[in-house]
Amino acid sequence: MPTVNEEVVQKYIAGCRKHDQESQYALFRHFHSYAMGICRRYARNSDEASDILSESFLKIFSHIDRFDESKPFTSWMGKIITNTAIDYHRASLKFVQQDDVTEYENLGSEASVYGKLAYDELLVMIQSLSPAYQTVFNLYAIDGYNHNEIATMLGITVSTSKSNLHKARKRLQELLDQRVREAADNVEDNKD
Amino acid sequence: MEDKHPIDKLFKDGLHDPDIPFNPKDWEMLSKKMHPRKKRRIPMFVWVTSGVAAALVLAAILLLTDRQIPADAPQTHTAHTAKPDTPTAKPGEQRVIDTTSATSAYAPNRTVLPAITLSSAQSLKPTPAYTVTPDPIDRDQIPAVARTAPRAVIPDDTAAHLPSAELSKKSPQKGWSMSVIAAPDLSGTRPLNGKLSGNLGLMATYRVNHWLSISGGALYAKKLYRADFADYRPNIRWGDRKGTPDFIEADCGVLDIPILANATLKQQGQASFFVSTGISSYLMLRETYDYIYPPHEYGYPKQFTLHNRNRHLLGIGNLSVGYRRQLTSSLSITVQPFVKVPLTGIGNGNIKLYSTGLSLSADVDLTRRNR
Repeated sequence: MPTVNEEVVQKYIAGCRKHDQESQYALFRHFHSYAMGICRRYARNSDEASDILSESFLKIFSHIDRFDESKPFTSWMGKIITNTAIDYHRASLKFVQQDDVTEYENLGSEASVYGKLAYDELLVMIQSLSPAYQTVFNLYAIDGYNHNEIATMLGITVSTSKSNLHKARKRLQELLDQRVREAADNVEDNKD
Repeated sequence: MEDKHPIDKLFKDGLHDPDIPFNPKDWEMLSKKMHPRKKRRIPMFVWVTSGVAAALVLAAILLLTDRQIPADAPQTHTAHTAKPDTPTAKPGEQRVIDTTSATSAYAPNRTVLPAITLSSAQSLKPTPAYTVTPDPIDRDQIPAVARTAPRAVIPDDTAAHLPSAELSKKSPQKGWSMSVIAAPDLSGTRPLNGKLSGNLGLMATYRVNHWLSISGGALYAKKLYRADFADYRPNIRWGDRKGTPDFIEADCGVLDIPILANATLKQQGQASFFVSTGISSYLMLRETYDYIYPPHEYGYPKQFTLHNRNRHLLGIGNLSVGYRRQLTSSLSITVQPFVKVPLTGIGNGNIKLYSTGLSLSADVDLTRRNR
């Protein structure tokens, strides 16, 4: 039967259950990149991302006994991180209430127009969204939650979730268009 | 809602699971959050120890200050109140103060000054404004001086109240001194071997008698050392980790709290030789371990830091010999080769950590400063 988690990860988790600090370090080190990737998407800047990361791992280590080893560790860890990130911003989450769904059909420019953008550029764009848009967009578009799940997690209605997603996409498209225009202007300047 | 919206796909592909280099500061932040209480505990221990040491030193200074006023002076002062213009002993006249039984032992041919009431401020002044010698010729001058001297006048022969042997034992022998110490050493898994490390701190020494003293203090030590992986024995087995290192490089910040007994072997004028032995406690403030793997092999963890995790009370034996040179009446310097021997495993790896080095210190004799 194929193992759900790498053997070495299983051993780190076993050590963490015994509160062994070296195992905790090894687990943290092993998943640092993946976990920090999530934290950065939900944060406004790198300091916030580091804060969310450490708060998340405090919870991970203190609740490690609740982890079900028949499931992937990354899923369990990812859920803790997203919940920690949501709690981090809960006070500043202001959701747009909009029930008119007809607007949602209009967006659809081919993303290929924008070419391949660097990680840092995309990160800056997503971090510049308001906390509500950023959270909903992350949960739906990148972490794969559906609107019912998002509504439950954030304590909002499904239609509020949909409208905030729409607004987030609209804002990101504006930023992408701006980026394309700036790139074109640079090319023009270089020709002169 | 449409699936795989182009903007969703763009951001998902670009942001999902990036390759972010590891930042050790993230572990430090997490480590501090995991163990906040331990961090507070260490300063308490240090403050309490420092406070007790400071209080003892202060008490010693005050005690020594009192000692230099005649032992029976308080009784004399309360029994006899003499104003400055009170008629004093006329030349040749003997005048003995009744309550001073000690003086009567010396009385017959000496004039003893009448007591003068001291204000509380004056009674604390150890330095006599005017010293009266036992020379009979000067005795005639005494009454005039007694009349006009504004401060406490302490006749030199008051000291003779005490048997001279007792006196010579008490005032120059017992007492406190403070030392500032700097000590480079080699730290490693064997004596006389290792990486260059350093120690810096303060010690208080109490001289019990002419040959014995006891010392206590606190030093901050930066201990750098290397250990073969075979010597690194953490409490949880290593076997659950990836790869096996060849050796460990350690960088530790340690609070060393020694308690020592020092015995003078030989005194030659201004110089003395002594031997010292005792026990230290190590409080491991910070331990950073680098794991060095065989070439071309990959394993981790690569580096690991602990804060305030380990303490080894009375866990290190100290042995040294020393040479002390007195420079002035209150200042000496000491050169002291030493070795620190582990009585228990040190740090996360329970390593037998030896330190061999040379201590240099400037010692201030607190008793002599008050003269």
